[in-house]
Amino acid sequence: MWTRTGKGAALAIALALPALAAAKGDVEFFATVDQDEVALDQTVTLTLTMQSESTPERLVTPDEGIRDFDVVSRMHSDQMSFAFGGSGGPVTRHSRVYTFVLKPLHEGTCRIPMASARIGGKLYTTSPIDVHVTAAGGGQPKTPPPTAQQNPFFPGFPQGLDDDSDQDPFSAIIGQLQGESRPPGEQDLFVRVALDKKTAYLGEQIDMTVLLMSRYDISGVEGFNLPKLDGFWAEDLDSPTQINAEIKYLDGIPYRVYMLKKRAIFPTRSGKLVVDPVEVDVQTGFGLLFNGRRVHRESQPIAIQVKPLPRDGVPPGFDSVNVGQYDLTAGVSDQSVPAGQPVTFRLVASGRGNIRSITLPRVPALANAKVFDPTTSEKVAPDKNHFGGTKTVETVIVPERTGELTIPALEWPVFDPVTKQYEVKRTRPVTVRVTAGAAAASSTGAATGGTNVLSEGLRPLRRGLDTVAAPPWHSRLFLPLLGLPVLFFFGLALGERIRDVARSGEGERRIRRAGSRARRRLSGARKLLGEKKPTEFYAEVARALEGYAADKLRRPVAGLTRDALSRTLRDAGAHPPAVKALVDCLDACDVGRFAPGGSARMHEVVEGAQRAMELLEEAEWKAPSEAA
Amino acid sequence: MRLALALALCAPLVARAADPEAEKAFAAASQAYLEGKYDDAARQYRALAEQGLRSPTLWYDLGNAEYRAGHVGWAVHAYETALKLDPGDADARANLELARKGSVDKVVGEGDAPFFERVVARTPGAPLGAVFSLFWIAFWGALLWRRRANGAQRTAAGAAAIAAACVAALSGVLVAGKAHAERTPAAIIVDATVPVREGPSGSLRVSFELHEGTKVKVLEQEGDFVHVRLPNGLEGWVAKGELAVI
Repeated sequence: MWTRTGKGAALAIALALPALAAAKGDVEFFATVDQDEVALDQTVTLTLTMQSESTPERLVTPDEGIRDFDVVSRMHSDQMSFAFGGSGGPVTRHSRVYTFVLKPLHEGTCRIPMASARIGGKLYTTSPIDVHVTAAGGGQPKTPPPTAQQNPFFPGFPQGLDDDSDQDPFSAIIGQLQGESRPPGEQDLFVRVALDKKTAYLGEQIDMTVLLMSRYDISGVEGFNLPKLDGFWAEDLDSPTQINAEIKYLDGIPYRVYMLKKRAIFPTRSGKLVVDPVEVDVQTGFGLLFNGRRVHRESQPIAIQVKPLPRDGVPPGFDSVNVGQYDLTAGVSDQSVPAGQPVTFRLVASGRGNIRSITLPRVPALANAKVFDPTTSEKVAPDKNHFGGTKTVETVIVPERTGELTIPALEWPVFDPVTKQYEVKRTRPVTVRVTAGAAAASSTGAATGGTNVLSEGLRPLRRGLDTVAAPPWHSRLFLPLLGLPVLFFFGLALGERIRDVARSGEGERRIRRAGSRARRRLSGARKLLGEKKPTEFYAEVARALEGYAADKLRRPVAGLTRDALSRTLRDAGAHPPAVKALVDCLDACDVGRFAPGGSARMHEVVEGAQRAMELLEEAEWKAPSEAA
Repeated sequence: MRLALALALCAPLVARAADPEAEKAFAAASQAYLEGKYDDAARQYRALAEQGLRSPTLWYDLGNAEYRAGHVGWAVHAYETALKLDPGDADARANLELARKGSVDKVVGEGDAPFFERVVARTPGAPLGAVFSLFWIAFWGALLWRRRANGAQRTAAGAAAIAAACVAALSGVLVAGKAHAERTPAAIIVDATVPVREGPSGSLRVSFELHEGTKVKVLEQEGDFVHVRLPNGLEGWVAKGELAVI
């Protein structure tokens, strides 16, 4: 039985014990720990050793009743040896070693319970072992074990691991991590991003590998978050769906190494770029029997210095995306086509690099052929360490003339980051024989303006520049000019209307004033009567009566005969007695003017004229149109 | 006075010969074409056209140069413009059909344009405008004559007014149709492949694609995008620089 007697003491006693056990009946059964004081985030390794000549009938290991620790891993090895004892005959000894990696669950004193074994009918036990657990981060760094020695019987773990570093893809990566300082809390489980180079040219491939390194078993990886990779174009090289561990030594300590992802990243700008940390959530522990825990780990950011492409020797037409190791080939779908039928020109770039972003040269415009816009396709074929594939550009060309159509050689400048030099990839000229077709063109001479080059094709050029006028409604004057006849028409109509209205008013005034005008004339006639001027008197009276009739009729009456005047007056609405009085008076005026002795009747005539007008005033005079 | 007015309205009818400088430039462009320098010829023809020269021959020859140079979209645009100036140009119509054969798009559901639209498109603008103007003036003149005339003359004036009104109305409807057509002009897609989006923004989803030579109707413009309609009724938005208005 063993108890703790101090750091390192257990190891010394353990080495001495086999001798004592042999003396006691050849049973050795003891437990040891590699350290008696650990931090909460560290582990302690418990080794249970059993040596006897017979196999145990019953064995209870300390992990079965353990409460203060998580059992992160367990393993055991068996060994059998033969020895010749003093009594003669061979003696067989069985050795079994159990190794437990334990993680403390709390600070303070954590107890590892005792183990027990029944061997040869006797019960053997170990003593419990107390381990002092301090706060996380405060423990002593683990001392690496002695350099692994080859075990002649067990060339495998934990001693003499096969380290074929020259065939192992992790060897270089593990080499990068040697001697790296890690946070105390993360020494047993950490994630790292390894790059194959820290300095690269713009567009040059950098391999990025994400590794999970663990000292104990892992039951699962959850929450794997890759960084954004700002400033890089990224392509996957390897994304394992099932991760397997490989055991590697780092600073002398065995680790299980899991490759989570491998990518090819291409810097898209020069200067200092940073690969941000990868984040992983890891489920520790194993099986259903033991408590696993979920822990979060992040890698360290890594700076990369990206150099711009060399400025010297840049070929003309070089595009900075064309970085890599490529080959260029060209060909056509048919070596002979009829005129007017399409032929496909195929340009293929293949090799290593960011095949998705490269740009290939275009077929230039060709005389006597129509060149259509190209279509591009790519086939990515990455291997475990390099990204690459092929990119194909197909251009449809339709030759229009018989003869030979030559697609000239194409040049494609690229930069090879391995040789660090510019190269110009060239294709050979490609010739296609164009035979006569349905729309074949004459093979001699250029297109003339006066002949149809194609019998069913384009109509020829025209000479003589002519122009046509713009439609009149484009002119601002169009609508105003259209409105002019309308305005003229309605303006004219309005004017006539106004004139008619004015005239009818004048007629009414004339009728109203007829009586007063006639009376004024009669007054003048009376004056002439007083002056004894009979000729003038009779003329004035006649004028008064005729003027009165003209005003009422709204027309001159001077040339009318007495009958016509009578008829006209009656038609206009005058009463017959009034008409007779007027006519009699006019007759009397004629007699008085032209017959002698007319002065005697002057008084009668003027009174007769007055009476005739009074009678005529009573008439219901009609408008001239009504009278007509 | 009415005669002067009629002459004023008909003045645009008179086709003018191009000025000597334009003739010279046209001849140089034609020479480039005959030498097989189609891109050069197209550039020179287009420079003349951009000076505002309304010449069906110029646009026809430009269409030929663009077609020879392999620019189907621009060739279709040039032939359509020539036909707009002179709807009776049989050469331009034939070459347009030939150029359209090279177009990728075949619009499904496209029917014939309505009869009225086809008549409007086929009627030359300047003569139509002159006919309308003359009969419009004749109509009002006949009305005026009837107002002053008596008896048989009045009847004759009335009949003349009715006849003039009919011709003026018919030609007026065609003039209105042409003016309306100019408000929603047609355009030709001139880029090889053009995305047609759901709205006037480059970030919106692409509904479908059009290719050079396809004819569309322009409905409205917003910013750098134009709202277009296909003959089968499909609508969408394209970038302004990807089409040319006829």
